Order: sequence, then C-alpha cells, then structure tokens
Amino acid sequence: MAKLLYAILVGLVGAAIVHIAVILTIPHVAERDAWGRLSGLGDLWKVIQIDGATGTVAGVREGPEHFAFLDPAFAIASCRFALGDGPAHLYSPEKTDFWSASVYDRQGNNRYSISDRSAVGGAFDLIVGTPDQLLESRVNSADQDETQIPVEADFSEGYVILRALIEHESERASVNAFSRSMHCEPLNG
Amino acid sequence: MRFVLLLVIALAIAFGLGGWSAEQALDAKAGGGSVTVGVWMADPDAGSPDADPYAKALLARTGNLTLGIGEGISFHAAHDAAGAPLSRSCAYRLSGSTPLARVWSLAAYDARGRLVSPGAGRPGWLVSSTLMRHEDNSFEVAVSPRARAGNWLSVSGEGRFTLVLTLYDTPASSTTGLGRLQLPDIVRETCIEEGRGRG
Repeated sequence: MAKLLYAILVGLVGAAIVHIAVILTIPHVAERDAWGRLSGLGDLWKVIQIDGATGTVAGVREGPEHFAFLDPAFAIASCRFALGDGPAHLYSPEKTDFWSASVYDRQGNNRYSISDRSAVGGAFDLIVGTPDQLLESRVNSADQDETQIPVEADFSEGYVILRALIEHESERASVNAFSRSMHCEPLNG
Repeated sequence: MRFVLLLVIALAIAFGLGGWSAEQALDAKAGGGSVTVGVWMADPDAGSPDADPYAKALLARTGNLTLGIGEGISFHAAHDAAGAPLSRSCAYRLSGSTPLARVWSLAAYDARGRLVSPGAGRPGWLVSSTLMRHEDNSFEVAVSPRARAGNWLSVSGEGRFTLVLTLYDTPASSTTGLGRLQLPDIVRETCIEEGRGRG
C-alpha cells in the first residue's frame, strides 16, 4: 500500500514536470503558429496579401481559414524574412492615410511596432538587421534615403505584418494598392 | 512484476495528468484575458516577448496575427451586461465611450474567430471615424439581426458570437493605463425566437 502511494506521488510530481515541459515546448514545435501558416502561403520574402473582411489570401485558393480574428476594416500585407545574408528592406512606395506595422521573430514575439504617424513622412520604410548589419549598411550606402528607419534585431528570422485601414468602401482600391506595393527584399540582394 | 506495475501507474499519472492539465490550462487561457473591463477582456501581453509561457503556448497554437504593443489593443466580449452569452438572434445596444484612440473598429466573430456574416449588403463592421456620436462624444451602436437606424452592426445566422473592439494607436495599450478604461456597456434588448419570425 505504501508503495502504491509512493508510485502515485511520483506520478503527481512527474505530471507537474510534464505539464511544464509541454507548455514550454509548444512554441518551439507548433506547426500551425503564425510563422507556419505564413510559410504555407508563400516562400521567404514573398509578400502575402490578406483581406481582413473575407480572410482570403490573394492568389491562394480558398481553403481552411488561414487566420482567426482578422480585423475586417484592414487590408493586411505580410512577408517572412531572414537576416542571414544581410539586413531586410521592408517598404512600400505608395501612401495611405492610416497604417500600422509590427515586426515579429519566428516564435511570434512582437519585437517592433510603428504607425504612419511615427514614421518619417508617413512612409513605411524599414531596414531590419543586426546592429552590425545596420552599421555596415549605413556606411556603405552613399545616398541615404531619408525615410528609412533602422530596426535593430537580435533574431535571425522573422515576419512583418502591415495593416492599412479601409475607412470607407470607396477607399478599398487605393488602400489595396498600398498594401500590394509592399516590398520585402534583402537590402543588398 | 509489482515494481513494473507501480512504474506504469506512476508514468500513466505523469503523462496523462500532465498532458491533460496543460490542455486544460490553455483552454482556460483561451476563454479569458489578463485584463477585464466590464464585460470586455483583453490580453495586452499576447505576442510580447514578456508574455507568460501559457500565453506563448496559446499563441503558437492559435496562430493569430497579434497586434504589437505599440499598435493597439483588442477587447473581446462574449457576454452581455447581465452575463448571458451573446446570441445572434438577439438585438443588443452598446452605449458609452471608448478610450482615446486614433481609430477603433467593432466586429462580430464566431467562436473560431471567423467574421459573422452580416447578410448581403449589410454592415458587418464599424469604424470609429464613420460613427454617429452624441455631443459629448459618446455613442450608441445597435448590434442586431434586424436593420436599425443610426449606428448598426448587422449579425445573421444562429448561435453565439463574440464582439471584438480593437483600438489602434492608443495610449490605452500601454499596460499602466488599462485599469481605468471606459468601454461601452452591452445591454440586451429584444430577441427573435429561434426558428421562427426571422427577417
């Protein structure tokens, strides 16, 4: 009897360990996290456009819903980038009234956010790189684009989400044009 | 032989209970938020590097495109002021005001996070800048399967829904300001009886 109680006790301690291990492991093994879902929709550097109202992705046939709780009032553009070969240049040559963007690492941790109001001249134009890469790109670039905002990264892979507000239905075409014009490129590529 | 049996018992408890309790903890986390304002709940830490391990595990499982801390904050409400679940066959009145924000949006979703269909040609979401307001900047919104004058968010179909109010570019998303927020009340008005008299 004492041995059975002992076994149960060992089991309970083990359950606590398993519980903690499961919770801590999920973010590293999950395949249906945001990174995994974006991977299924396009390669690295490929800009993916998501319609907030319908949840559909441009150029992808309707399948199981890709993302939950999308804001229908927004057009969303996203891409995945890697910093192995230099910094990433994320920008959009078009303009729109209200946009908001966030940079995430591969695990989905939000590392940087910006909106049109805090951007230079309202332009979406980010250089994401490690501190060394940013320093190097600044030294090497002769004509410094004044709207570029350097974003320091201590991670090697990540993704960006750019949200643009469609205030009235009549603006949908121009906001979609802004969203479509997002570029994701290796800076020196 | 007895030792093997005891070992099996211990292992079964460890993996069975450990796995089950992790699942339960995530489900409980999914149904709640770390900040509650009236009927509204928010998880301002979701997606932040400082989020607790449960929030990180939940996010990895749902794959939501979270808003960054500086971008804004989403409030979810699945119940009315009386504590009853929101039903698509009922009309609700939202009244009050929101914290200062450059833009906010209001939309209805099903339990899996898909937008509730508003019905053809009907408004399925509202944006703050196009809203009609009282002189003191407060507002009323009707959430109803039937057409309403004024600010109207249409819902259709049957079953429950969740209202999501998302504030963009707002000082409210800094965690210090969350306790004193003002968000609209959700009061149920009339309900259409399920299965008849709809339209």
